[in-house]
Amino acid sequence: MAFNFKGGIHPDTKKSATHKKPIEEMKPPRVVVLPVIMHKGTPCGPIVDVGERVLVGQKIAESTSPDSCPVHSPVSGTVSAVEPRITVSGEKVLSVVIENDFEDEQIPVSETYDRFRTLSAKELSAIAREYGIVGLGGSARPLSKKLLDASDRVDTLILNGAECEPYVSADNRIMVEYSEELHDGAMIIAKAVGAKEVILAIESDKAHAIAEMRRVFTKKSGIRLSVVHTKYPQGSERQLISSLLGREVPPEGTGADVGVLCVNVSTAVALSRAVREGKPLYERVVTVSGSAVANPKNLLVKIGTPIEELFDACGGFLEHPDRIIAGGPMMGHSQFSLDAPVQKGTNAVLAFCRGEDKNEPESVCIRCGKCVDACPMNLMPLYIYRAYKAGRLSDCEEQNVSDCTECGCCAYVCPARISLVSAICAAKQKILAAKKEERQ
Amino acid sequence: MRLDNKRFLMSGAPHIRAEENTRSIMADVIIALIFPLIMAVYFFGWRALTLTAMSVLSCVFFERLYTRIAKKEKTGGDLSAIVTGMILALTLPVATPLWIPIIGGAFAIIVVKQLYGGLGKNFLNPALTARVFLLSFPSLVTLYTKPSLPAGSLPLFADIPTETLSPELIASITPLGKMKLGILPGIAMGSGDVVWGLRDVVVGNVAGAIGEVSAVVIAAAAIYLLVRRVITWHIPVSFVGTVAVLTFLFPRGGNAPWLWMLYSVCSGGLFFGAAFMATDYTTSPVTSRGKLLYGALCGVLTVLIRYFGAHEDGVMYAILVMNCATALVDRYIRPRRFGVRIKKYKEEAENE
Repeated sequence: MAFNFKGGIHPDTKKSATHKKPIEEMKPPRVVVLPVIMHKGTPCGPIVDVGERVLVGQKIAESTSPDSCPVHSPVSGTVSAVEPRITVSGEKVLSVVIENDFEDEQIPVSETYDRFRTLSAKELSAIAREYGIVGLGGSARPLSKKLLDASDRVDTLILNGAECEPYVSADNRIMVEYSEELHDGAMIIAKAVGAKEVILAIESDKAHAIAEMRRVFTKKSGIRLSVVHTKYPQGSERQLISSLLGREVPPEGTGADVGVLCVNVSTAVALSRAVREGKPLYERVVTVSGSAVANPKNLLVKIGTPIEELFDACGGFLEHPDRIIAGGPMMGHSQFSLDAPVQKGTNAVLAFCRGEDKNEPESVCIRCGKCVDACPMNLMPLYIYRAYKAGRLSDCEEQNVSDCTECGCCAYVCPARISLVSAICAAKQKILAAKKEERQ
Repeated sequence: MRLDNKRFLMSGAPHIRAEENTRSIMADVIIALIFPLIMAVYFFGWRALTLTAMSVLSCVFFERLYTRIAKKEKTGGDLSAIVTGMILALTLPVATPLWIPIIGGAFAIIVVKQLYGGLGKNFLNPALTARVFLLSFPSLVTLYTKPSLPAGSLPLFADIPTETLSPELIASITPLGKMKLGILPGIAMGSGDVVWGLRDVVVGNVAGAIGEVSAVVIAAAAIYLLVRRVITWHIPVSFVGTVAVLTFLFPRGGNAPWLWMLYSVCSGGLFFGAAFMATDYTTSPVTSRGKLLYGALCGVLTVLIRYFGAHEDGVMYAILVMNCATALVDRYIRPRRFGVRIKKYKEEAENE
């Protein structure tokens, strides 16, 4: 396969449980819990009060900061609480709790854009922000900022349909079932940011999606379909740009620095709906899978639905799960309970039986170097780990610890089962904290 | 199914791990070491097996003893002591008294491995260092017998008295001993001299350490380790390749370069060292480029010692010296930082 990057791993993709199952709309939950921050950036403040009635699509939290993104209600009903609630990352976050009245009363659509093909980057960015769109591949970065950043600086738009995390098949189904919207979304973005070339990247194991994309994206559409090597983390922005174009995003830089805007396929679909239908981002496709799930599915879920209800919608559990994960198994968060709600960035919820994770007690580093070979960012994780454990943060910096994207390849291959990612994250946080202190 | 207890295991990402763990890797190395062990028994009789058993038992015993006395966590589960024991035994000649590998095993495990912190922390290869330490008993670890002796020529357990050993059994010289004099092992130096043809040298039908003789079987074991992704090709290929190139360019005794090179590569401990010793994780560099440099320098040192040193073979000393250089190699040979190629892209854009 031509399109490849250095490093990475080949875990069992485990997608066969769900990749052929059509997206199923889950029935709306009785209660939704909406954390006021579901993106990377400045938190929003709630703009509704307890007891207030809200409609489907109504904005319930926002902020004036440019790196923020508002939150919309997925149901109509009454705000029953505004209080800190547990989220998938394990932290308690101020959340708006809404009791669904099942009236499904929509907020009137303010404006749709028939002239969508002529939107400027600035206009499109404003729409992305107004309708609460963030990167749906898992990054959850506000799209508005990314679009502004890319405006007139990029020659290539990459639609990221790689979906390299094992188990997850949400993007795959979106490409198969929402291909027309994806096409529209791609055209709108490409036009707005001035990209000359549009590339859609799909991993080679998604035959169904590739066939559908070939049908919709004919030569005339000007979109090039690139089938990339099935390897984790192919869907990571830096790795995908390197695979497709041989360009490397500089440390602490973005795709725009090398002339590329990379947008997840689900994000492009959400943007297309915002532009053409005036629909805010209040629902998303979530893959429910793992060995403990009775009937794995791809569900269309209202943002804010507690993850317990997703498992219930899939027939519950076959046996007591050992581990619950929100997100993919490589970069997702393990869950202590089933209470946290689905967020904008939650592409999957997984339940593992005992032994599925192949985890064991940590032993000592034998210096095998497998982490060095697996690291797609050319780091030497074993030495960062050693320096961190010895308390030598300056050595961690010297090993470019800040370049780490936390993809998890090093810990995946480690035969001693060392928690390399946790150590590296801790090192990064300590370095940031030390720098902050220095500045003060 | 309804859950009564809605509490689950927590840990940091990633939540899935590869099949391989330390134990499975060591098990693969043991499987690979069984290849040369079978050849050792084939060429040198069952005494090769008792020698190996003594060495392994010694290493495992002293590992247990040390971890108990030092109150360290049990480390027997990683199988690494068995690997050390096998490698040590396979570098000895078959006539070695059985107490020698017991002493060697104790030295390898306690002095070289555990006193430096145990698995993954020793800077020298334990088996290799112990083998060199055993040269303190020079007459006992350098008595080479001829290969393929009739069954029962050597006792299974008893010491072999050097003085009374029948001259028919003793090999007065090894292939590398002849090459030290600039003579190909396939050429007789006088009447009654042993002749080792190229075929003997390749399959291992020569005098030497029990596990080191068979180049072709060790190559097969190395391929097994490569296929199982226990080792990468970099060290074995650069090590053997460098020896091949140097001996081809500088043949001794006016011999044909091709023949001299083939004999040089297949004789002595080169294949065994390149496959099992130089690839030791703990004592070799972690980057691909570092491994290439490390292997190449091992090769250069091997040829220098063989040509100009006091010893017949230089493989073990070459690896030990390079063990000491590993930290330096890892310090200065690092992967190129991701994203520093940005300049190239910008230049291209400007040219357009």
